Amino acid sequence: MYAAPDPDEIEVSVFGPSYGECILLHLGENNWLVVDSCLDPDSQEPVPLVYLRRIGVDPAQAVKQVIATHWHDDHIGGLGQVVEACTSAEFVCSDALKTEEFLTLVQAVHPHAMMRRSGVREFHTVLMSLAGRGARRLAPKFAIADRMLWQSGRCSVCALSPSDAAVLLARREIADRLTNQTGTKKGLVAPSPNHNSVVLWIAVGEVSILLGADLEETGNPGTGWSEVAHSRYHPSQKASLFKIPHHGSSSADNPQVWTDLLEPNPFAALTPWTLGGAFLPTRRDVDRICSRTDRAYATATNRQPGSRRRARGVERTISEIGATLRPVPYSRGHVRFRTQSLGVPTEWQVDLFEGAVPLRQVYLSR
Amino acid sequence: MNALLLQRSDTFYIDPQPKSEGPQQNEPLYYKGEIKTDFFQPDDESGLKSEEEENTVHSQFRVPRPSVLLLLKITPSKQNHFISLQKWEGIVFKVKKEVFLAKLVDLTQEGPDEEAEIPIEEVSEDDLDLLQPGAVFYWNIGYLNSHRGQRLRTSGIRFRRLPAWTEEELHKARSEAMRIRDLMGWK
Repeated sequence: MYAAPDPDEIEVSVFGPSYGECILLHLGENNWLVVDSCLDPDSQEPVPLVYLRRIGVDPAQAVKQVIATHWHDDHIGGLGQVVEACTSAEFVCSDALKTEEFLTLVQAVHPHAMMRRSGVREFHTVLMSLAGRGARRLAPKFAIADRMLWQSGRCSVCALSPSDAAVLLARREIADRLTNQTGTKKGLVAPSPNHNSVVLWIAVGEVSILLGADLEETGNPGTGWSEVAHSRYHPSQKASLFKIPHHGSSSADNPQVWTDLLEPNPFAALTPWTLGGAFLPTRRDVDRICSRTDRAYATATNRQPGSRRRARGVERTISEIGATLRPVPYSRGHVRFRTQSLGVPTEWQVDLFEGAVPLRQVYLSR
Repeated sequence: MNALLLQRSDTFYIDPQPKSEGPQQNEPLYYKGEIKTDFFQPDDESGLKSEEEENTVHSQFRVPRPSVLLLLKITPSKQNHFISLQKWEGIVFKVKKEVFLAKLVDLTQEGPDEEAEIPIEEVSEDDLDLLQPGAVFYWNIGYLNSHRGQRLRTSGIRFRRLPAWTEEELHKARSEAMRIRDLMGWK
């Protein structure tokens, strides 16, 4: 069940425990990429490290890049530990973060971030880890549309976003946040909608993969999926595998992506997202996606875990004041795709682990 | 004054030096202490502190090794004390008209995060100005034992109130950011 892929086998493992996303890619010859990170719900260790160790892969040697598509909390859980463990990997993040203002904001805010988990704190850990590498250091690489991020033999990893316009918008927003730090200190809430996610195009021989990160559609032809779809630098191939952006939400949907960048009826995966009782994908999102492919999968369902049991006095007090608590749904949720990288491309072999389901079944277990 | 031979994990109370702004005459203030493990190695550490003692606000006194025989004024504590049953750290992610939504991290026992919908009326007037997305708060449910022997079950939400940024702090953050940038080779 959990064996390392063959040297010439491509693997795309999508993990999503209902709040969090991480993608691990094996591009052949023990070259691995980590795209975002989330925490294992039981051990609270970063999922990519847990998985790599489970299949006997040494992250220090095998991981070539750790890519942070954006700094929302659900994509960055444990990323600091991942960078610390992947000592020979380059760190890649959005070009929008390549500013003095962002670094200053992280330095200023991280001591006041929430105690245990926060995107700012993770970013600070990443920066300190990179700074502490000394002579072995590799400066971060910054992703912007149409930039090649990594290449080796028949493999290439290219960023399709963020666009120049999106980077400028984000930098202005970061600068505004720094200058507007008035009033009492508080945590940093990541901006929304997300124009700055790093969308990745990965090619291994004849096989292409599109990872949509959390990029949203803004209606502005200079940003978001419109910019990606209208780019003059489309890759010549079409992707056979698609990580559906932003948890399948309609705000990240652009029909042109399905026609221009993807093969018909592609393999696809998404990670559900839940917060404050809201759940993505909605039923309508599921219908929309399933009308475009019948080979879509989700890493988890909308099943709510049972409430935690607490002392009777605590339960009574919560009830008396009219508050409601619900556990954040979690599972390890893992969709694994594998195919051969050599010869004529074959269909992806799909394996579903620990709560992952075909997308059609994401609402069936309520 | 009473003579008392203290045992390990015994608690005791000491009448502090009189203070000019001390308590009312009929409600003397006593500091509470306990014998530290430095002096008595316990057979079983779990016996050292009950949950109630753990959560009682008190000062601790170190007793010199030979001085196990102490002259102490033994008296029940006259302070209210709070026994926490459950603590969370929360971060607000949405504020609605009558409730706010928050993500909670359990500080009492490890476990997966939770989300809460909490009535705004639970927030004190003093803290209302802090109630906005990104604000960090602490929610504590427990028993308040009053010095009159009453026990009340209470819920308290306190928002973390940090002073505003100063120019000096931002300057320091900027300098540190530049130092890290150079260390990373990030030009």
